[in-house]
Amino acid sequence: MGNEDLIKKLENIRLPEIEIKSHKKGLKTALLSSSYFKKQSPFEIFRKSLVFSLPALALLVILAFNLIQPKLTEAKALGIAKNNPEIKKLIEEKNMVLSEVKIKDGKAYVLLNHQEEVNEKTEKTPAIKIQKMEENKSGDEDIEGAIVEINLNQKEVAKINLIRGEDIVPLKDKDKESARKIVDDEEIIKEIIPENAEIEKIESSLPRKIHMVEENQEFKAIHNPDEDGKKAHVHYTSDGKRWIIRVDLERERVEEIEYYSDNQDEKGRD
Amino acid sequence: MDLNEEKKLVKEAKKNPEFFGLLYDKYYQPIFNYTLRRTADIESAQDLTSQTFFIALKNLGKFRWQGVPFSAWLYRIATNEIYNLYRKQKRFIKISLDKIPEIPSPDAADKEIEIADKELKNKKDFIKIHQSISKLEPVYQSVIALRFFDKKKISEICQILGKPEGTIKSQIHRALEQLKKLISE
Repeated sequence: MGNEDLIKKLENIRLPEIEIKSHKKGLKTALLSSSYFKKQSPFEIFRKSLVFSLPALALLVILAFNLIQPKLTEAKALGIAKNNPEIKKLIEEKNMVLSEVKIKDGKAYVLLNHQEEVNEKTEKTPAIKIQKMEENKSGDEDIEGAIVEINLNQKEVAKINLIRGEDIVPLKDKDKESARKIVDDEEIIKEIIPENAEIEKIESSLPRKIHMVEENQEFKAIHNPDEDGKKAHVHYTSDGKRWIIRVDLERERVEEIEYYSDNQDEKGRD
Repeated sequence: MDLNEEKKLVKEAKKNPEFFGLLYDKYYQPIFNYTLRRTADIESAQDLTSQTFFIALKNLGKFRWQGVPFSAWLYRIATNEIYNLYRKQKRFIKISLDKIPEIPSPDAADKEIEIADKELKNKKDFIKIHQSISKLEPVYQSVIALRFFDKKKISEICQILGKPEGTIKSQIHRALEQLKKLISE
């Protein structure tokens, strides 16, 4: 048999022409009542879009809550701290700021320390501050910072842990010797402090840039030497008066002179 | 119905069962005939036709009009389902239709199938040549059935099987050569 014969045979063969009406009708009914068309109704489209949008919405709410809620708690903690009389006094009289907040287990920990004072004036010449004598007598002249523990549920300050420079950056003998030399070399010191004034003590001064870290379930202050240099306080006394000289040991310069006197008009020298 | 009309119909059928019903009415019989001529079995043809239309409906939303008629898409689905049947080596045995709702088969329908079965068996020449065709590779069976039973043009077979004209022509040629040998055996 040739190809043409085979083709003729295939083309002319009597093929089955069968129509099964029951199958055709049954299949049509099944197709048209299938879930495909049910899904297309406006309600289904709305329901479908809702199914997809609800998790996205929930995710957004959770995300927003997680981003906003800590900020609200921090703001609440700062508000409680600012209303505490002791902290208010430190902020107003010692020019301190609430610089960091951490939240843990229903408590807030707020770092209180001196405001950073870096400007042209303080870069070139020491800042001179006149303080009331009572502050010296009260013994809080060396308070330079604190970690304030706040009970958020009771909305009150639970504890104020004072921070002293000596605890964070202790001075070695050679640091103290350097501080003494820097002070001796500073002309303005010679102008302000009487010759008979004596150095009472040299101690560490809390760096302006400190941070809080959690250690053994407690928050403590730490200092990063790369951010701020080692500082010292040189205490001069004479006839019941006191001068506290703040020295930057890294830059080898006097930063600040605090003079404790009853007379606020004095400029530091008798 | 020209291609533009069919295009509009398919677009409407995606959201309106009434329009899908029109497409179904037009293409049910050609698809049933094609599957019947491929299987020479009433029950298999019914199942393959059902499978083809359910797959088409499920994927109707994804159907993009690219100049290929809707019927070519249906033939392609049917051909793939026939291949699947061969692949599973369950040739002419009732295929699994777990996802397809059972179409009620009342007594009248059973009787109809019985009559159809008899009618099919009466087509002795067809049954005889089908026995030879069924020994060919599935792709050769497809080109023979489409070209000579369904009287499709070469260009239409290209659209259905997604192959270039040269390939289809050579497949037809090889299918005929092999079929000749099988018939003369």
